[in-house]
Amino acid sequence: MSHPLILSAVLLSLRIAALSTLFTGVLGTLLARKLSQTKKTSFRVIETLVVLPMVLPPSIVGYLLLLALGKNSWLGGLIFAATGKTLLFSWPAAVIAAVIVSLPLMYQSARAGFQGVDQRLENAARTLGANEWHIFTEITLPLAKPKLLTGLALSFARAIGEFGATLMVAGNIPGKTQTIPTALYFAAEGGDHATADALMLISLFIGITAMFSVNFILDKSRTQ
Amino acid sequence: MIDFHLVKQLNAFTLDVAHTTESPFLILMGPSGSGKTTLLNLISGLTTPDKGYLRLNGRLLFDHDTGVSLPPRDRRIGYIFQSLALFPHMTVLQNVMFGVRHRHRGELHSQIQERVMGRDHRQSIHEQLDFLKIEHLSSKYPAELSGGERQRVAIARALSSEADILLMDEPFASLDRANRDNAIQLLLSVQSHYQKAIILVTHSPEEADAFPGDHLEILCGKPVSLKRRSGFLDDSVNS
Repeated sequence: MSHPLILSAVLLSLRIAALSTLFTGVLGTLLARKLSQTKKTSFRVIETLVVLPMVLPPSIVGYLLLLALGKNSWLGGLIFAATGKTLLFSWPAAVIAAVIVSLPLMYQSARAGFQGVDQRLENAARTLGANEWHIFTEITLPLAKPKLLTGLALSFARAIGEFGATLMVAGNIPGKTQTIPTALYFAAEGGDHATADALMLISLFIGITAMFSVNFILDKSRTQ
Repeated sequence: MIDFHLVKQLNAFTLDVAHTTESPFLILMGPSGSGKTTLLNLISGLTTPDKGYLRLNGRLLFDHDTGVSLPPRDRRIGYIFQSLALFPHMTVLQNVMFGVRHRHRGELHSQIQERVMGRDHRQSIHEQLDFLKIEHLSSKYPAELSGGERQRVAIARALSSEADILLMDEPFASLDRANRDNAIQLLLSVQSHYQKAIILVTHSPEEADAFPGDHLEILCGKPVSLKRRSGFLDDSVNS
């Protein structure tokens, strides 16, 4: 495989993982906050649906996404009618796939983080005049930070390693939707060990850098 | 002045306590599990009563019949939990400033005003820090403080949020005898200096004896005895 194609796979992977982690981070945090505040059954159902992709095989998730995003579906149909283009086999579809599979990780980390915050601290803040939003931003979020950061790191790792579902909804179009995992798979399959090795090393480098950065941030916040 | 009648159905019994007083101290006594902490939660608004009303210094904070129920942040009540609940990720100064910043947030319309107010408030905060002898601890974190110091920070924080009344849940429980006696003297002087009423929960008759005012004993959620003791700091006598 040529160098420009390897580069485009790496850049695409980083772009998809970064965007997906951004969405997952915000969505997972808000969901964890909302769902932890009530015991209603409907909320428990939503929680189950959010976490489900974690236990389903990626190809099943991919197939479900195909059904949900294809031209014949409700959402896919809307997008096709509006833009004349299908969501499938585009890099946004890869972002959607990455969000779906990494959201459970972020959600569970965030939920653990929020549950770990002593409710008495939030109650003290209430009596001191703070409204719920300020309690969330000044008390809950800072104290849940380690678990939230871990959730973000896990989400990023999951997103950048996403293979099965991405392959099904975004395909493996070189330069357009070919990410590191799909490029490596097909390179290895085709006997192109030079490319496979290069992609493997790049992957390791990204992973190690990500883990080091997270640990660094966690250590810094722990010594405060 | 506090005037209330609060009712709340709990697991083991129904809490039903009424009291009216002008006295600076209201001491709630009784064994653990008798509902004293629940009563403090009801007064502060952290728990909603099933029935009743609550009036503090003439302000109606809760009335089941007319649907009035102010949230905790609007009641101007300083609640010092048994665990103190100091914010571990903030310094002493930040902890104490928390109440100041949030008390006035609704009144401020610009960042500039907030900065100016901040400086003014830092002046009055320093008075509290000084009176409670914790000024030198301003930049320390709660984990670095002793139990007695932490308690003084919790009191400073409640006072700086401009509370009209202080609720204290078992303030002496985790203190040794020497610190406990210091804490008792501290509370008496805080009440006298700031002229705020204090509702104090304790299970120890010995600690309760150190305070003037109304002594209300609660058992299984109901008041069983009331003693009104005259103050030794002022001369108000209740019959």
